[in-house]
Parts: sequence; C-alpha cells; structure tokens
Amino acid sequence: MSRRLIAGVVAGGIGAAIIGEWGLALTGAAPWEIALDVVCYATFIIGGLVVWARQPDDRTGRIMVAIGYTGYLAGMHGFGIPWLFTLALCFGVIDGFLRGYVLLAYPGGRLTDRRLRWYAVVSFLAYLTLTLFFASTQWEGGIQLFTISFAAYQRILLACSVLAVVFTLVISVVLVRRWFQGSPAYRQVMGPVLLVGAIPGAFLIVVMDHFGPAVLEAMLTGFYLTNIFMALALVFGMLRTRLVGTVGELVVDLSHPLPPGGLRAALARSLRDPSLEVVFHVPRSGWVDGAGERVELPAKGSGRAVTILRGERGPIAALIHDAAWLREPEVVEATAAAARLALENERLHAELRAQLDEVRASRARIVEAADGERRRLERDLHDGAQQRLVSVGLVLREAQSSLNGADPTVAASLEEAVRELGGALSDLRELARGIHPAILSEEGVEAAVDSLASRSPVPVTLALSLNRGLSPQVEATVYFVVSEALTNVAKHAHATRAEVRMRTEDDRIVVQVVDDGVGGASVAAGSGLRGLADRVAALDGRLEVRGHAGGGTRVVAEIPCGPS
Amino acid sequence: MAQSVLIVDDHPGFRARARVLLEREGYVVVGEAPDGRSAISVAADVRPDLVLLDVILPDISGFEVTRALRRLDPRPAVVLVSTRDASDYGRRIERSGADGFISKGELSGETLRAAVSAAG
Repeated sequence: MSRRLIAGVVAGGIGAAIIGEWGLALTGAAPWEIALDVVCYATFIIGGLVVWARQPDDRTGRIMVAIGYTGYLAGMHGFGIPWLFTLALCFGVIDGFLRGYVLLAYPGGRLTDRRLRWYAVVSFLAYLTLTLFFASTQWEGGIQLFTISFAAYQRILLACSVLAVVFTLVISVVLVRRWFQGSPAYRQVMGPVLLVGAIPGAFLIVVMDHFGPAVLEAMLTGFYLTNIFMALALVFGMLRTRLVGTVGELVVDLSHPLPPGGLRAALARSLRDPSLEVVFHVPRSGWVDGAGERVELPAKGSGRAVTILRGERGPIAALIHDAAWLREPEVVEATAAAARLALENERLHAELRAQLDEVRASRARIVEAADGERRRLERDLHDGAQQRLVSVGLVLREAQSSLNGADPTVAASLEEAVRELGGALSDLRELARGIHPAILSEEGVEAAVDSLASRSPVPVTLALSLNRGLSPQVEATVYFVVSEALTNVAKHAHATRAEVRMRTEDDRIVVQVVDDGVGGASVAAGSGLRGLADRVAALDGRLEVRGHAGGGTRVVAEIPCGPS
Repeated sequence: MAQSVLIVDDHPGFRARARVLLEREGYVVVGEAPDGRSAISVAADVRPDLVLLDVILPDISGFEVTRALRRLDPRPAVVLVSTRDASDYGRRIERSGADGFISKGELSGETLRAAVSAAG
C-alpha cells in the first residue's frame, strides 16, 4: 500500500468526519456524542488501514475503511437538505450492513458460502428499498415523493426492524456455529472479535441504527463503545496469527534431534494447528505419509488447505493445514521453508519405507504365486504321471496273473518291474508331497504337521494350540518350516526324539522344533533353512536356529498372522 | 458266493484295469461310476457288497461319498483308493467311516481282501 494511498484515505476520512459531524451537530447532538462518533469511525478507518497495509489480499481492511466513511457521512441528515437527507440515510444503511458483513466474512472479507451471500444481498436491498421509501414520505425529511398514513409509515419502520433483527440473529448463529466447528487456528483469529461481544454488539449496532435517536444516552454510549471495541478486535484478530506463528520457535525446535513424528509436532506447534499433517512426495508412489503409506491430498472445499514445498526436482513435501492459514500463505511457506532440510530428510525416510513396503508386498505376492504354482504342479502330478504309472502297475499285475507261473524268467522280470514301479510311485508321491502336500490345503496345518510327525523316523511329540484360522501363505510357511526342520533332525541331528510346538500369541504364530541331537545347525549352513528364512521374512516374520554342538537344536519361527 | 463290486473313479483307464484285475480275482463288477453323485445313485440301484472308491473325484470327495453310502446302506464294505499315500489324508480316512485304504499302485485281490478283513 503506497503512502499516497494512505494519505488519500486519511484525508478523505477527515473530510467525511468534518461533514458528518457538522451535520450531526446541527441535529442538536451533545458534544460527547459527537466526540464518540468521531472516535468510533476513526477507529474503523485507522484500524482498516492497518489491516489493509498488512494484509492487502484480505478485504477486511477496505471494508473497515468503508464503514468509517459511511458512518461519518450518515451524519449529513442533519443539514435539512432533502436529497442529502435521503443520501445520508442510505449511507447509514450501508454502514450498518457493512458492520454485519465484515463479521460474517471475517477473516478474509469474502462470503464463501453462496446461500449466505444471497441472503446478505437480498436483505440489504430490501432494507435499502424500504429506507428509500420511508425517507421519501411526508413523515421524514427527504425528497417528498409519497404521501402515506402514519400507521403505514410505522409498519414500514417495523418491517425494517424485523429485517435488521433477523440479519443480526443470522450473524450471531453463523459466528457461534463457526466458533464451535472451527479449528484452533480459526478460533485464534476469531477469538478477539467474539470476546468483546461481537454478537450482542452486532445486535445493538443494527437495532440502534434504527431506533438510535430515540433511545437513552446510556445505550447510545454502549453502541459507540461496542463499535470501537469491535473495530479494535477485528484488527487484533487479524494481526494475531502473525504474532504467534513464529518461525523462530520452529528453528529452535529443529535444532534438537527430533523423535519419530517430532517434525510434524514441531510444525503443528509453530502453526498453532494440532490437526496439521505432513505428507511427502515420493517418485512413483505419489504422496505418502511418514509411514510410507499412500495418501490423497484433500480436495478443494474440504476445509483443509495444502501448501506444497517444492525442490529443484519437483515437490518435496506438503503441509495439510487449516484453511484459515490460506489468508497468510507466506507464513505457512516460510514455516515449510525453515523446516526444508528436516522435511527432505523425512521424505527420504518415507520414500525408503514406501519402497520397503513395496518390496515386502511384492515378496508376499511372489510367495503366494509360488504356492499357487506348487499346488498346480502337485495336482498335475497326481492327475497325470501318477495315474499313468498306476495304470502301468495294474497292467503288469494283469500280466503276472495271466502268466500264472508258466515262465519263471518272465515272472521274475515282471516281479522286478512291479517292485521298481512301486518304488518310482513312492518317490513320486514323496516329490508331490514336497512340492505341496494335499493335506495342507484340504485339512489345515495341524493335520499336515500331524502327518509329518507320523512319517518321521525320529519319534515326534506334538504340542499344538492354535486359536484362530491362518492364511494359506502362513499355513504353508509353517508347514515347510516344520517339514524342513524334521528332515534335518532325521538326516543330521542323530536325535532320539523331537518335539514340535505351535501356538498363537497376540498377533503372531510361534513355531518351535526342538531335538536332543548333536546340534550345530544354523540358518547359514543349510540352503534349506536359508530359503525358509527368506520365506518367513517375506511374511514379515523371522526364523532362528539356536543350539550349540552337543546340546540339540531349536528352530524357532515367528510369523505375524493377524490379531486374534 | 462271489462278492459284487462297484468301481468309482474319474479315470476310465483305471476303471477298466481294475475291472479286469478284480474279475480275474473272482469278484463280480456290477457297476462303474465316474463321479461321486452318480456313485451314490448307482449304489442305490445295484446294492454292491463292496465299493472301490477313489478319494479325489470331480464333484464331491470320496470321504463325502462314503458318508452318503453309509447313510444309504451300512452293509457294503467301502475301500478308498488313491495315488497318494494314506498319511497324505491324515485322519480323514478314519473319520469318513471307510473300511480301508489302498494305494492305487498296490491294488490287487490280496490287498483288497486284507483291507476289508482288517476292518472286520
């Protein structure tokens, strides 16, 4: 705002004050009343200039200046010139309306609610029309255009009062609702305005505009004082966010190492917005939160606003904050800029977490796909090769039966073929079971582990206590861990017995296979266990092999399986 | 008197081989069925002494067919067969009420008689 503009506004205000107060004096107003009138509207003009200069994009300052001007010029009705009288009454109406409007549209000076905007325009035009009408009757000092009965004149005055009271009530309801629904940032701006009694004040302002000349001096004083306080509150509220949203505090906060989530908390403190969210831009994933989870930025009109911090290669982070801060984007931008390094750092963490999540999900998908493929292979073996070999076996038995001991050499060959075929079928069954045991998908992991134990050459005791269903991936992983561990027990442990324990704990299943053998096994030593450790890790679990030479081996797998 | 047998399997090759083998062993094959539902219906018609029943069938499992047959008539002996091993089915064989289990590769008059007599 230029100095010339300020000087012009001040000079215009002084001119309006002189003309208005001169007119007011001619109506016989007491000197104290004139003094209060001068102070009241001067407060609006000066306060308006301060807001205008500090917040040029906010119309509140300009509206306050307009209130000051129209308030002074409404005093011109005292000159006794009919057209000036009508004009002064119009200024009075505009002044009253603007005082209501500035509260409704505070902060910002714009009514964003369409229905409220329509209501304000219609009630203003209705009030102005009625005022122009009664000012032009023989009962008032304006240009005489209409002659009506005194009763009709009084009814028009009553209609004006009703309009004014309803307008006041609407303002009160809207402000009270906004206060309860508003965010801390909004309340901070709005607080001073409500604190000085904007609602009763507004009531007085509008009603008294009408009955002003006829009421007691005390009420008139109240009217001026409320107006003065309101102007001051508007200015204070507008400047308050600047006073409290100090970037300095943030810089101090950021100078210490931040705990997880500490950056968001520091930014929320700095912007006085506890609901503040910080999201990060990650190539390929888009916007993610601190945990690397994908998020959507809020849509327009959701009451939340977004300030994006950009780097050389595109967006770095975004602050999702209260829309009240849109009035002062530079404060949010400065805050984000101050936290740039910390935000970049958190973004890298978020990116890493997002990538880890992606890798984890893709590993789980690979395991799932592999399990599906294993099931298909087992089924193919069962329906194909195994059936054919069984048929061959039956043909051989038929041949044996037909031969009926006629040729001992052929009979011996047939016997050998049947035995070999039986061995091949057994090997194939073992292979199919290793690929994917049918019992696992048909009977569940407990029956499958029971079946493993029954086939183990080393005696196995079972202690199974599962209190919930498990996903097919978890069941298959548990099965293969037990299977591999029992195979190792049989092959390498020289154990006399083994035990399989399986139980669900909180959100995980814990599987242990313990033997009393020679020990010395490790995840790194056997490729079977190594592969299983990867498989367990793909489900976010972990596999450990504990034990030392001579002290047996304990294979422990813990796999998340969802809450009970 | 020769025992009558119903053979249930979705592989025609296995049914044909089993028929030849069992008839040679003195059994009378009174019917064949390619799936579980038709097995139940054929059994109701022919009332066999013995049902040779594959576990994996296209519609319902051999275990379910066993239970249905038992409800229909408790007398016939039911012997389950599969290319898989008995241990691959855990306790399901026992729970189904079948009289015995034979791995398909080991099917013969001898193993069949053993399975039935073991059930008593």
